[in-house]
Amino acid sequence: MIATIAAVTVRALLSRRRAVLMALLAAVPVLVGLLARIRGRPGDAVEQVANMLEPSVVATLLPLIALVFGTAALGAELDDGSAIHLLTKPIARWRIVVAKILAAAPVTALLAGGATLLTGLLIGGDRGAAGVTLVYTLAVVVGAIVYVTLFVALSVLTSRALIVGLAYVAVWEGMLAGLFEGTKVLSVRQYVVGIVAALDPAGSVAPSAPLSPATAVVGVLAVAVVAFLVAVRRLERHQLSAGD
Amino acid sequence: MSGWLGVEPAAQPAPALVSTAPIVLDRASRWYGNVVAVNEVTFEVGPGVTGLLGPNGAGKSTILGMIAGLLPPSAGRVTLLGEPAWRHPAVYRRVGLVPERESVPAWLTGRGFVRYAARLQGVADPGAAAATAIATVDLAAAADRRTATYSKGMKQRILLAAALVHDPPVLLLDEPFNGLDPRQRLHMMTLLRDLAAAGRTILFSSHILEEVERLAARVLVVHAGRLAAAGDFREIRRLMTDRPHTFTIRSSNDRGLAAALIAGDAVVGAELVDGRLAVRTADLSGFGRRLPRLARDAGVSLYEVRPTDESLESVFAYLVQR
Repeated sequence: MIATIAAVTVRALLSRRRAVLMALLAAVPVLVGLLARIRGRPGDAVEQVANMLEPSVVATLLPLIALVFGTAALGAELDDGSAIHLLTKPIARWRIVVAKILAAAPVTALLAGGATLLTGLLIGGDRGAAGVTLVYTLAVVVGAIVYVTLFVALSVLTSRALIVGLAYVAVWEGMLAGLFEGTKVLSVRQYVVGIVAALDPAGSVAPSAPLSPATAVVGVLAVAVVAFLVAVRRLERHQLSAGD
Repeated sequence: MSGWLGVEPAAQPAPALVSTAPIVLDRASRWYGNVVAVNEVTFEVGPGVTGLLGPNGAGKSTILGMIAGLLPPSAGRVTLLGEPAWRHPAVYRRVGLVPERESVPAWLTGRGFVRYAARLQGVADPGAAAATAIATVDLAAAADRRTATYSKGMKQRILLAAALVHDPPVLLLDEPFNGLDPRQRLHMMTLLRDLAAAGRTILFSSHILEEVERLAARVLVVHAGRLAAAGDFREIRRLMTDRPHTFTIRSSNDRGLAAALIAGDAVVGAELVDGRLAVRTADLSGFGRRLPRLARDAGVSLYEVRPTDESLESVFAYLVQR
């Protein structure tokens, strides 16, 4: 049942223009990495990979792709009314939410994680930065799951999920969460950065004041679980508008 | 239930607290903020075809939405197959719903859409069940086309196929004849009659009197969120026909014509309003026959005779006022 819904959702996500746009967006850091490789850049490859991946992928590409696919996976059906075909079937609502996350998270992880891997390897794969590239890739995949769960929940909570999600990414994570110590614990981006710092085998990547590994892991789990439960609860109470 | 034997005013419904009917509304109301969409509606629907009739905005879709579990009642009780459908998705194993909006995923083929519905219903052989349902709605020839290429009528039929794919005993249809051409309409009516003859409970909504008349023996008339009448269609039809009708008449001598009509017992009332003659008659066909003769005998030329209350809304309003 979950697989059936997820498969149809993946097809829906990939059959629209948004998939092409997201693929083009994901290609940007890869092209930058390719240019960097062609031109050749002396210096610390690990630092170069980190300086490239953090702002372009972790802070921008990952949340944007997750926002687009996460809010579309279920929100698009709720908005255009076609969710009625799903919600009038004998399926527990938690299964629907799981299926939607299982559809949007791999697509997001594939694009954002793939862009991370290719970009990192192009910039410093042959100069000792393969390890840190894998660390970033893993952290981005975890981030994809958390972001998508968050945005799926947001799409059940509001029909303006795209705008609210964009405000969260740009205003909260982009401006406020980095300013104060206390606000970092409510930022998925900071969790991803915290996971990178925790997994980095050489400790060579040290973003300024990262969250502790424990905080990052607890944060990831807490956001994912709470967002999932909120999505299920709201979907159980979701009212489809009547025709007249 | 006695209500089905004749017309039953909405104000005196029998509470359906222990009913075993597949569909039961017991003093069900639904409001949105300060707007009351459905007001203390009580009725039951048993096997066979039942029409939910009312003008646009009367509350038909809200009633169907509550029955289908898409909306909770604000007050009262709504049960489908003995259980509240709201927040009870297991009931959909035995219910098929055709929504008013033909929101079919455009990138799926008709067959893909019906097969998807069969899988979600847990049907043992989704492919075979989909083929059967598609054949039932006479859409096999177009089944492998994307639904984006379908006409409105074809979308309605593929929605019906998806609703039938798990062979449910209860079928709910919201304005199923919208967008169908006459041949498709006839086919849909025959199909629904056959499905009902096999023992299913079918409730469909419509704002078109003739559709309900041709298909449903039993009818629920809804107006302004209230149940105006419930029961045998012929009884309701008779009420609609026998009610007083109002006409405005323009003639060469309105006063003279009014005097002739009253003297000839052709009308139950006549008055001059804004320079025109307004008359009320309880005998529609008799009035139609006698008016030209009375006008001729009185030496009055008729310029215009116009019914003023023939809209469906006025018919429903009349039923509610009774």
